[in-house]
Amino acid sequence: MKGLILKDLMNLRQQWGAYLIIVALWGMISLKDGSLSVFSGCIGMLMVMLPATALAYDERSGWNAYALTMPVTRRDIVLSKYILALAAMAAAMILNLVFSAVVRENFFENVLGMFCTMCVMTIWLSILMPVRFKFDAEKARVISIVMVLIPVVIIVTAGISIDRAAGGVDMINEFPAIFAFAVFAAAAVAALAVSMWISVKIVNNKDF
Amino acid sequence: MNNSIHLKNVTKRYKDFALENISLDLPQGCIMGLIGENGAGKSTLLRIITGLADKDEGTVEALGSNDIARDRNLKEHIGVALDKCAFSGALNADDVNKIMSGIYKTWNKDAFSEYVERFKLSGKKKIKDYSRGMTMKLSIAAALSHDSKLLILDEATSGLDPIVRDEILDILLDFIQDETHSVLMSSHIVSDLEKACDYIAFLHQGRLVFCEEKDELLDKYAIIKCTGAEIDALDKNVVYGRRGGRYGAEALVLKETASGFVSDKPSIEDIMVFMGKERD
Repeated sequence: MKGLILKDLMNLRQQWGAYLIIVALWGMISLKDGSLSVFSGCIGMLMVMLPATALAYDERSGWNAYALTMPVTRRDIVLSKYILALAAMAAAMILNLVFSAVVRENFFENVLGMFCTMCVMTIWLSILMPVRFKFDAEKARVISIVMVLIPVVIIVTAGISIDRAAGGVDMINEFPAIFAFAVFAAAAVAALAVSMWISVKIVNNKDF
Repeated sequence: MNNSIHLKNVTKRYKDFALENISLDLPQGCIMGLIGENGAGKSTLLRIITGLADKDEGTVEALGSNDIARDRNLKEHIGVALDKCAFSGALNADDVNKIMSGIYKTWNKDAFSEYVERFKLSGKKKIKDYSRGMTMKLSIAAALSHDSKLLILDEATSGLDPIVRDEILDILLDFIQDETHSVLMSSHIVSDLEKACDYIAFLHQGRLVFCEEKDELLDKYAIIKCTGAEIDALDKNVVYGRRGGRYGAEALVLKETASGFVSDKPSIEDIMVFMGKERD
């Protein structure tokens, strides 16, 4: 497992520069605005992209078939990608906390907002990963776009008005913030567990 | 003598292809060459032996274990080099050394560095800048740098120039100096296998045509040159393949049948071509 994660980190070395520039840019914008919501969302997205990019490297080089001839199981291959994503998320949260401490204003809201954003990103990651393990990079990209569009299409075609949607947001806003976070966190953990289980099943049945 | 690989009636069926009833044994201390035309099932068979694909029927044992896909300890002792280098082009040989030491308990960093030096691979050069020969040498270096007792090579010498191929064959011959070691390799370049192998297994359209000791195989047959009518007059059970027309024809026959004819000693490639065509 250690070797698999190390391999991903080394493969992704070329991307680190681009990631750092993006984080620095959004960090500066957020520091100027005093709000970290966009920053949280941005690094959350990077976190979701990281394992997908690592998988693309593996696909291109034919790594997975080779890895399975080593003392590595299919489960290890799946879990290493989730561990990579969770490690990136932990790093993103630490960075967020540092920025929140620097911004100082609305510290509690910023941190809570960051946790909620990370939970949403974890749910998104949980949906994306099985798709990514099932299909190759090209197909998975198309399916991911469709998956983003589906809720939008449902809302539009079901005729849900912006007023009603806003009413829903008001209703959510009436919940205590900490309760909302607890719900988000529980949903994220559950989604992650189910996602890992599905991904292992997919990879177990995959022909490399 | 113990067998490194034991296959008994191994069958694997796909929608458009089937590997049927493959039985063979690779004794320790030997190199076995797997030959056959494109699509004969060589890679499928190697995938089953390495645990990448499940068999539908039969017995597959490697180094005495029949749970190849899940036996982590067994895989410490099997070195594999596939037809394509599976390390990303973004890595270099030093990275590979660090990565593999996190995967194999028996990984020997010094041994890998020595192979990298011996094969004249730069530790810092990106793999994407390697030639095909260099990537294959890197794969073989990786296969040899843990406690491998069995090497499985899938088309490891294809696309390489004769000098590099010869170097790789020398490495394999070195490897089997230890009598507990063995090698199973597939290749299109039958002359390479003829040079290095003790056993030759010929797969044709998913079936094993023969698996025999190379020297016995080369001593068993002869190519006779005669007319079509003369070949027709021979017992069909001693003719393993024929080509040519009515007047100038050649046939692969058992050596003892060749007396009285002008005959040549066949190469492994001749035997493969004659037998393959006969079965088409």
